[in-house]
Amino acid sequence: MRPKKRQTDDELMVRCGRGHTAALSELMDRWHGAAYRYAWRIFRNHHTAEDVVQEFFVKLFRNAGRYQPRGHFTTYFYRVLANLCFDMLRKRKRRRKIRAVQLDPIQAEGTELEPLAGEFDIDARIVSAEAKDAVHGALSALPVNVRKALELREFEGLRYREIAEVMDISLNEVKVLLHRGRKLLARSLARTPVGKDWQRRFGGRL
Amino acid sequence: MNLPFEPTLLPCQEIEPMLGSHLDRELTRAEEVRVEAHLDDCDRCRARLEHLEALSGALKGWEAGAITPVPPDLRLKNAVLARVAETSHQRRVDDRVLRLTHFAVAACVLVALGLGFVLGLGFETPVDATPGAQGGPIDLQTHVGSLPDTALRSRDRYDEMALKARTSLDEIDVPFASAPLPELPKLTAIDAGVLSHALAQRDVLDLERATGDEGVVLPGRFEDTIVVTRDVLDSPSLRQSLQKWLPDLVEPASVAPEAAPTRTTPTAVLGEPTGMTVKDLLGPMQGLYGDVNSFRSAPPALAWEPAAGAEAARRVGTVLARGIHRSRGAARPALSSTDGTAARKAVTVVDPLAAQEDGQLAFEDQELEKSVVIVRVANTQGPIFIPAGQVLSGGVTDRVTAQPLWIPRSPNGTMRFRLACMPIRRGPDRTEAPERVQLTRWIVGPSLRSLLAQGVSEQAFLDVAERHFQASGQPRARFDAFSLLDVLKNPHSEVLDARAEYKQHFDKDPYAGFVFTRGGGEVLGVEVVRFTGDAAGKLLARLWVGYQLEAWLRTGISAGDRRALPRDARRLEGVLHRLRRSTNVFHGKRDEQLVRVSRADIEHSRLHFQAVELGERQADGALEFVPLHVSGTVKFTLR
Repeated sequence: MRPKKRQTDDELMVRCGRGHTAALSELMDRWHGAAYRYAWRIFRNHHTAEDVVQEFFVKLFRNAGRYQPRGHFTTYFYRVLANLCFDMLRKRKRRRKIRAVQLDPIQAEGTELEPLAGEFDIDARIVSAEAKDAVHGALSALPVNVRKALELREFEGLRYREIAEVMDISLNEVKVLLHRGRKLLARSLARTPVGKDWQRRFGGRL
Repeated sequence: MNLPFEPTLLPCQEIEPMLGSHLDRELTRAEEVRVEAHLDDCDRCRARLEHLEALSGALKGWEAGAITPVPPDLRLKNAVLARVAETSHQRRVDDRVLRLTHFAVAACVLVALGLGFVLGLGFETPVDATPGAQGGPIDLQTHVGSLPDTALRSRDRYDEMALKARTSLDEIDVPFASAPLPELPKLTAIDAGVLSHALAQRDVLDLERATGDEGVVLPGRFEDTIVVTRDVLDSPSLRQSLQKWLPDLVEPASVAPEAAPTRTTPTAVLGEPTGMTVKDLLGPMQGLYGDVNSFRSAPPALAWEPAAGAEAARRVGTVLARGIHRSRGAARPALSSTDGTAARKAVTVVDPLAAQEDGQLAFEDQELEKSVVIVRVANTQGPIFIPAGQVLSGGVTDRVTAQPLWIPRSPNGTMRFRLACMPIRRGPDRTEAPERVQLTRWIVGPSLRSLLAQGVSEQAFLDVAERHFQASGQPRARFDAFSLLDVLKNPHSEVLDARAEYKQHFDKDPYAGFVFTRGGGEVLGVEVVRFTGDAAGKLLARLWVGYQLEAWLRTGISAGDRRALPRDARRLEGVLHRLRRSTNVFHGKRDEQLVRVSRADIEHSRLHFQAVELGERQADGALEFVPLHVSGTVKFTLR
């Protein structure tokens, strides 16, 4: 018996458009990891990332009827996902701002108890946590478009043409955004201890 | 190599923007050649390129190390599929409606044609007798109406229901309720523990339902009975929950009310509650409002006798109560009142920390709801009490248990319960924390507070604290303990000064603070304790914001901002009022991410303090219970 032909993402989307949840299930198997990683990078929170992924796939399914199967599922995927993530981020930032005002009198370092998960190398953990915070902080500080482009390139490995499609901009604009992003990122990281550490590891200045 | 042009050297400022594209291999052939030529001659741009490479490598390294790999998640998948099922279903219905509409239109056209034909022939046929014209819309309605309800509850709806269930706890923060009357086998169960965890389960037992409707009495695990109403039995999902919850039950579906098994261990029936004060009744039950330590040191021995008779019981309603004796020695016998003739049963209350160390008690994250932790117990020989206010640390977020939970013993296997919690922190690092949630030391929980409130000596307090810390067997915890001792014993400690300051400010008012620090003066937490009598209860009753108060003090102290500390209760009230309006009371340290404490969480807190206050009233004898009617609702009234 001939093995069943693996359906393309486009075909699955078309089936989703007809209301087949099995097709969505298959799409989730293929793309859940990528969606989660993307969302996690934006929010750095497991629960939020999961919420976003859930919302994303629901949205994907609901809008599948309007999907044009032209073999560009990857770009469609990242376009919807990025829009969802950054919309949510914008809303959260707005909310956070309001809260910060309310909390003004008690804005102070928290004194929460740290998780007591047995022995660990405190220094290594701190350095590692600092590094993550530094990178995340530097990424978060980038303008949204720049960040989007940079992440799609560096983490998702998209080609410039694909990034242009995802973001609906020209190829040249992609190049400009990436150049700007790398520059800003390097400058921002160079000021942190992590940046200095990298300087030692990679030599020279970032 | 033949090129259509001669590569010319470009200035650095023109090359620099192209380096990234060069690295990504996104340049055209011509651009590539130019950049290569430039790089051959320019050290500076070569260095820049290397730096870009380093940056790119670092980013990838960061991602690889930062994101926890996520296995294919069935739960997530199910959640998504459940949500889209509705859409999908609706879409199919729409399709069918469309098809049927087309069919109906076609039928109408045919009928019209036929009619025209008939009329043309001079026959008179009533139009409404035409089958197609009659059947279309009616069939559609029937069809849509008979569709199975496959849509699952959305998460929002679920939360809303959960919230409703929580708010209904207002009515049940009492450790006892009515008992079954002999002739009316439809009444409730009630053991505080059973009730507590039944309500924590929420799906299983609803007090209103239990007291308002008929139900059957099933043997429970906690040497007592619970009531399962017909509603529960009639609902497949609830029945399923029940089966999970009490796996050794006979199949609930097969239990008819009239065939309900009799209670295996009947509980004390108090026929005439009017002659008894609440203090008498509840003295040994303070643990319900405090914690393990407080009920261990509670006054011993209930001395009530069973009801004079069934008739009296039916007349005034019955109260079923359990008490837990003061524990003495290893056996820690506790009173499990029986029907008055049976002997007392010994119940050993298991220390949660010890149980955790023995692997009998474990906490797990509940993925769907962040404010619920799953408690798993296995092979325990006695009930375990998790007090409200217990701090749980680890997992994806730190939490404070918002509602006390009695866990029945589980001698032969594993049981799982839901523990309502209040998240107190959710930071980015949590994604890396182990999934298993652990009990922390009793630093901020009510245990130490309770000791302090009882007026124990400082040494006794410290001994207990130390014991707790050392019992956990973790080096870090020991470190905390010793630091705590050092700080508190050192009269010149800044923290002690702070403590003295609080005491000075709060001497006229009921609060004082304890600060726990780690080496180097880093503040770990504050204990808010009550030093004086009734004023505290009143204030608490008005403010209902114990946890906010703690958080406020904690953050205020850690900032060293003593000016912000309230100078008097009135100001404290003002501050807390402001806090209460804000739903955010905690502030993350590293990422400046504010932790949202929802109104539902605050509601938890409020209920807890309401319960505390009730307990205090009861202990003072200022509160008594009045059975309302035969069906068994018991209400507290203040004298």
